[in-house]
Amino acid sequence: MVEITVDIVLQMAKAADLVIPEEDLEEVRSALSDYRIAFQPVEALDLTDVDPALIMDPRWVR
Amino acid sequence: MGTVSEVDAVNELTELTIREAGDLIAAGKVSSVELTSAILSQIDRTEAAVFAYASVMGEQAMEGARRADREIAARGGWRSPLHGIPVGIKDIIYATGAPTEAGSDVLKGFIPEWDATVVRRLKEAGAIIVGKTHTIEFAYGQSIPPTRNAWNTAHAPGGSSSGSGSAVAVRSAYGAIGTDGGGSIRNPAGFQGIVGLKPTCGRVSRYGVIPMSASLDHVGPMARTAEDCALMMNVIAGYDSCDQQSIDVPVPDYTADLDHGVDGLRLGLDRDYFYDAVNPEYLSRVEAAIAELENLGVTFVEVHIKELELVHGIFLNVIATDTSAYHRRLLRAKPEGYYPRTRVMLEFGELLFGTDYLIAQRARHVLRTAVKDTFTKHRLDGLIAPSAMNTAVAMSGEVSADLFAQPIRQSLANIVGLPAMSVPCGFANAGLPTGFEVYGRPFDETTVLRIGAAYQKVTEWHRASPAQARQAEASARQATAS
Repeated sequence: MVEITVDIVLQMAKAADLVIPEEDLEEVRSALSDYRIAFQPVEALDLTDVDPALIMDPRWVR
Repeated sequence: MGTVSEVDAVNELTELTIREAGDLIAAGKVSSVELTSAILSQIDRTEAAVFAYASVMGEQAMEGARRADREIAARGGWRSPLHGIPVGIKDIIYATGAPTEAGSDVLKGFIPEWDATVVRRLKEAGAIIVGKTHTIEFAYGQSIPPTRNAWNTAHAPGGSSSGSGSAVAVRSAYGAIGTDGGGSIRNPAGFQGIVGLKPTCGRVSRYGVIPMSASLDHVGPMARTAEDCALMMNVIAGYDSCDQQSIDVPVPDYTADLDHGVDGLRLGLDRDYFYDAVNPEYLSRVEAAIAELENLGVTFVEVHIKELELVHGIFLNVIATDTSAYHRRLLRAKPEGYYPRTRVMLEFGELLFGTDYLIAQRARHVLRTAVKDTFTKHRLDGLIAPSAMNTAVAMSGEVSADLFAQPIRQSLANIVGLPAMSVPCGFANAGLPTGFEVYGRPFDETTVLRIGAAYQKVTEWHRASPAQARQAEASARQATAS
């Protein structure tokens, strides 16, 4: 797994057109690192036959 | 502060449950004005210590109480067991006549011009809105509301429905409405020795609730007993076309089965997931509750749901992405308005990939299927777990820097939409409340409430009050000193 660095955070934020204050950078980096670990079991799933939960309802009822 | 007899009279009234107070009102033995005055007095007496309320709507509440008394006195004017009963509303829910600030400077001074559906339904049932209760910033952030734990003000109240939990526990509301995106009703309920129910996804409208995550947010009741939560559910549950997630299924009478007992019910225990690393003293209280329920006829089944390992990753992704999407414009317009740690969480959510979000949503299906299959295979009516890993932590003024390191186990119920309820089951670690949590089948709040009611029928934990605890503590100190 790629190590998340402050530089990576800055690049990602730039791509998202988001200015992250200097004092937040380390905490955002840490949160991203924790997240990557937590998300590993989800990434490992074979979801080939699983539909997304987001269903578009085309009816004009609402 | 009034005279001793006045204080005793207030105590007598505020100790009532919603059911008891409602019965007295219906029988003409007490008025809404008396109940509302007692609650406002209790707010005056306790707010300096617990800070449950972001705003108190004293005049409006008294006006509503007088109107309720006139209506109830008129033939056929009694509307529901909540008619004339003062309740609190989490300050993330729109209610006219008071600011809705969601615990954030970003919304400072915002006063909604309309009521959320849940508030409208409470008002239609005759409930008295007594005030807006404190929340952690936008029910999401890491801000520390001024609210304190009713049982020990040096300890955290739990969140994010912090004020609702403290108000009910300290008897400055008979019931309160909370919201729960990942345990935010059940966590403060567990920490403060009250009952908190997160209903099934789609059961209670979220229209007029400032959103965190469209697919994780729920609105639900917090009260001292399961019966009181059932009474509140009878008022707030039901389809609302204004809420895209609302589901149109019939609403039962949630009180109908409360006296049916629990003999023959089957509850699953996943010890690998829910019971791992729980504080031993806390766990002993939960085990005692399980033994009590076993005596009442519940069969417990050991289960292992491997897919629960997905909960943490799915929850982090969905809640962070959804919440950051909602705050995207505000974060750029008023970044300084957010508490710093909330801002960090919002910034983090903006950096997650869309593909991850879709994967997480698909993984929810896998998790839901695994839970459903376990219920089916073992013929379960529910799962039972500790409400928390420990009693409420001491307030240190700082929160953990590892924002996302610890799994929020309770978020299972949000991810798969199941009803879940925390029930008080005693005290541990020097007098702090403990609780157990029951997860039910979708739209089967009736069974979840029935389990809570059966347990509360044979236990007295819900009758214990913080005031009594403080008196006992003072007496013990005095005895030691002498």
